[in-house]
Amino acid sequence: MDYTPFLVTFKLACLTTLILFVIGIPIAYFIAFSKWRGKAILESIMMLPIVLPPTVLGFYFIFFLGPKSGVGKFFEDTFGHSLAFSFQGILLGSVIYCLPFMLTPIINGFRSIPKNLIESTKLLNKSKVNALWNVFIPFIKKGILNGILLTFAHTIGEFGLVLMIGGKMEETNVASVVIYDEMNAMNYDVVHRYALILLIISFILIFCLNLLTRKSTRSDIA
Amino acid sequence: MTEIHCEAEFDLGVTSAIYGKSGVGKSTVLRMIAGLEKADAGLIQFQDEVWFDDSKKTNRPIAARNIGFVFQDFNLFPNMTVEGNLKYASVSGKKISKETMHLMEVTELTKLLKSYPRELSGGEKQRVSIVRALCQNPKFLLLDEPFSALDDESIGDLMYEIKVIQKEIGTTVIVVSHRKDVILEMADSVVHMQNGQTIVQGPPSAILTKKF
Repeated sequence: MDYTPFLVTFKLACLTTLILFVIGIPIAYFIAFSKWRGKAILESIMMLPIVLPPTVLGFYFIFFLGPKSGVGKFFEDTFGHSLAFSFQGILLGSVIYCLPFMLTPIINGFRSIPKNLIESTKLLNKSKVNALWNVFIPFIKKGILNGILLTFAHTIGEFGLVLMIGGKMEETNVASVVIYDEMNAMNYDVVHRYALILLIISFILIFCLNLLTRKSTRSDIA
Repeated sequence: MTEIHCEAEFDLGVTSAIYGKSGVGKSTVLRMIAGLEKADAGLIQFQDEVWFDDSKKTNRPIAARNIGFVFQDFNLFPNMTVEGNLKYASVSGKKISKETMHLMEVTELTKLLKSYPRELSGGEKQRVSIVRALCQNPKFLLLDEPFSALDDESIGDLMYEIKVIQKEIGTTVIVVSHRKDVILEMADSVVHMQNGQTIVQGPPSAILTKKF
């Protein structure tokens, strides 16, 4: 059995989660605490991938970032290959697609911080960055972990978006696409093995998420 | 929206109180003194320092007022022990000052240093919060309904602690409360508010026994 698709899948999931973790916290902080009037529009745009079919997102990705677009041509000139049908392409698509899954629990976490705690940091003359690092992020660590698990799990299960942007190149051939191909080829034994591994991994992730949620609920009641 | 008109003067080194029914605007006045809310008009001055003056568009930032503030609840940072809270609240952010440690000793709170806020009773949290509010040697201490969520015994402990601290370092305290018994016990002066306005200011024994 060829395990390369799993390596590609995990590489994609790990990098997507890492990128979204790094950019997600400042974006979520801005959305949660900013008084800018336009933030409702920004938040709606960020959350769009939740309701958008992956194939629609994939289509617009190809349209705006594909080889015939300005960005696509620039990327090709700079790196020697196009964004479409490349690992970088599916990574970018995955980051956009999974953005709401990282953002939502973190935004909710920030919004749940009691006003008095936030004001206490101001009264103690702590900068916003200092307060974020020492008080707010520890306060919402369960929300952050929630976001990480959801993003990772969601990336592992991606199919439509990856297929449209990445095709079936060696570097973009994720496990979910292999299952689809093997299914079409009626290689059910192979499908069973790939599907079972993905099922087990997904179950473990959801189980961890459940444990985390139950622990949060119990400690809130306490 | 309710209009609030407050006129008051607070003496240094003593405990003053703002008294009135819930919703009259006491906490709002305290928050304006701290800079957490902005008044529409008027003057807030501490000795020679003008903190707010709408006629001159002056509004000193919160940090520049250097005030200790204790809320009714959710004061202590839950991810830090008591010791961690005190270190974070210090000027350096890393070390508890000798003065703060001395305050912890005179208020008999040192045994709680390694505890997390979730392990403390309501009264212990408020007592530690007061010491934490004093970590940066503030000009004075504002207490917003610190007794509201406490039982009578804890209220007694908290009042005793405030008196001990005031005797120790001469802190000026302004406390907001809707409890007459507490104000009569601990305050040297009280501002009585009613219908969003200051009715009168004076000694608690004279003010709180009258009907308005």
